[in-house]
Amino acid sequence: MYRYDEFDRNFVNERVTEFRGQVARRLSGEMSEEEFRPLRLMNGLYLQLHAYMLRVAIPYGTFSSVQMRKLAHIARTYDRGYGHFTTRQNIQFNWPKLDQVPDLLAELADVEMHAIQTSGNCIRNVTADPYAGAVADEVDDSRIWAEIVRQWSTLHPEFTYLGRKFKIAVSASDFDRAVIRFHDIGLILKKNDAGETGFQVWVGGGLGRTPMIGKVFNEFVPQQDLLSYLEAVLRVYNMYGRRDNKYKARIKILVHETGIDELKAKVEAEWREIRDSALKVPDDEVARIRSYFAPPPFEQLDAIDRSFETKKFENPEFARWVTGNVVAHREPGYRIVNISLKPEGLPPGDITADQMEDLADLAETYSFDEIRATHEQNLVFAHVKQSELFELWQELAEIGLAMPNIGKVSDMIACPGLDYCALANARAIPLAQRISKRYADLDQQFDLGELKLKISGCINACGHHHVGHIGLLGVDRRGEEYYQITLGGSGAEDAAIGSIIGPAFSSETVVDALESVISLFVELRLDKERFLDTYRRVGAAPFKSRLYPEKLDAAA
Amino acid sequence: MTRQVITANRLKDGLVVFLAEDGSWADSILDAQLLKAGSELDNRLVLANAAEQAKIVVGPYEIEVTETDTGDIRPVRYRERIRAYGPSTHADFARQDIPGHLTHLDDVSPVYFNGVG
Ligand code: HEM
Ligand code: SF4
Repeated sequence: MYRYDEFDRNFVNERVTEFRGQVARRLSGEMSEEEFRPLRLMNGLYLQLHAYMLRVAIPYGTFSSVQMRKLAHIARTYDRGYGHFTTRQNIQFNWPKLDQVPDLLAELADVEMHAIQTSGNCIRNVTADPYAGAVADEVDDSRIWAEIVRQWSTLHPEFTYLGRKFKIAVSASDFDRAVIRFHDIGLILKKNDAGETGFQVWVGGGLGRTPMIGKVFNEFVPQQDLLSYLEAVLRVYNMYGRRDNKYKARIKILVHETGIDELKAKVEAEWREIRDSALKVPDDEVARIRSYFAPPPFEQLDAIDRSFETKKFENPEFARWVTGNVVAHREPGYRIVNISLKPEGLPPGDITADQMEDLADLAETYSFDEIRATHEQNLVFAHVKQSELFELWQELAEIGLAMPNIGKVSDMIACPGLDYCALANARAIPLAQRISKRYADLDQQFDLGELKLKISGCINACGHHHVGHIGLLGVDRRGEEYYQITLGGSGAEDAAIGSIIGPAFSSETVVDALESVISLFVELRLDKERFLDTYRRVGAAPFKSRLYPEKLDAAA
Repeated sequence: MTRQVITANRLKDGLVVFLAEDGSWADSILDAQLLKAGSELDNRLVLANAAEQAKIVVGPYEIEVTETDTGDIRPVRYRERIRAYGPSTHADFARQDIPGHLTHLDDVSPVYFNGVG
């Protein structure tokens, strides 16, 4: 894992001290809310519907048992005993008190954590593939590069006051587990024909009110040129990006309005100027950072463990969890374990302080002391011995975290919605809870296969509804909660933006409407088609006529 | 008949508060002062804005409420009901300090609280 050096430690501690002073001045009235707001946002602190909300970064999604225990302690001491994992490898606390936030941040700093770059118009915390360093299909460990980008971005004087937030994600495989194509910049590590490492660079993706799939700006930026290329993109964005209208300020709008060729030419021109500057990433620096992410001391194990096979045979529930949540590891005898934070009927992404502590212990015992957060509001133990899966599963079941629903209909993303968020039109979490209850039958969920359902409480799209195979968007219809259904989106390598299928449904009818969509899929699917495959094959029309039969009658 | 009450977030801890008759800020909407739209409300908004200047609250504003049969004050808009009674996502997360908070939320979230809770 990455460890702070002297510089990082001083920087984070100085920020805590600085913010302590700012909070004191706010509380004493020297500073108004207007003056304080941008300062608190620079430290991850929002004021939400019920209380302040603090967003804590988990850089590239990797954290240790010690850090998890600290999060548990914070949940208990400064919050109401729970935390909430988001879609960008952050954890949010919903009830911190302003006067206690400086102490909270100081405690975080003790375990090398912070809330910097989790909010405001800066380069946000860089996210990475949650399977990094464990999966066979990666070109390199994406966290190394996420950390290099993090170091470049954190104190960059040019990019502290951007026109809007700027999100970067790094991945290293053909499978997109980091929503690369919907980031302001998405980086995919590649090898060229000469065997050198570089990046395919996607620019201008995003969700929100104007969803856009990123465009490939460069097929191969050699690894040593990564920072100069990023700097060129950011400079062009800073120079030409709109600041007159915050809804048009993201780089996706600049790409869209300028046109990809013209903007690419500007980036290339800027890049030529700075490519051979101090921004070259030195090999020894890469090596230094790589050493932080050195593989844990794996044992030499057989590829197949007999006791594991027997346990699967004897215990169908365990076998189902293995099928649903466990994936291949690059080392023989090891597996990657997904831990679903979507137990039946509970708020997606929520975790109690007790569960955090238990998971910290389990990570220590079973996964080299290391935990990952995913963009789908779940957690991962990246390096578990196949022979210990059964014990781990039993222990997870005891704390209510053995739900085998990864990628299934009940593994929903849901934003906080109107239960917490001041911007919301409608609630998202209770809807997710109702759907989770409706589809409680695991046999049915497995029969439906991969089905990505994503719910946002407003058009800001924090719940990724645009890229759900099925998306639900909360809208306000004359003071009532309504939900628009979108179909056919994907945030993965087969990226697509879902289309709105028709008029919105009331809160009372939306779960039935969803069920109609899903049962039509079951009628229409061929072989092992996923919902998305069937939808792409048959198009929107059959779903429209199933959902709005009266429209057809009227037309007939 | 609808009335108004004034609400805000308390600066120090961010929690939702309501302007009470004695000019203090109450944690519970049940202790809020009922106001008639017009000069009665306007006068109290002046006081509320002064409380913002005095670093007691952030962003005061008025909301519409009705009185229930049992005499409880209840916001008209569901957004404000969630603010007053707490998140509807989990029984434990709702406002335990408001008697009947679950029934109030039950009304916002019928399906969920009947099912779980
Ligand atoms: C409750 C506090 C939150 C507030 C006030 C908030 C606010 C916003 C706003 C205003 C945007 C649109 C920004 C833009 O288009 O420029 C946005 C986008 C986003 N938020 Fe949130 N959000 C909150 C919580 C969350 C949570 C809990 C998650 C994860 C579950 C999340 C993930 C995202 C993502 C992924 C985007 C899309 C970025 C894009 O446009 O590409 N947010 N949020
Ligand atoms: S999508 Fe809207 S409702 Fe949901 S968290 Fe984002 S801003 Fe709030």
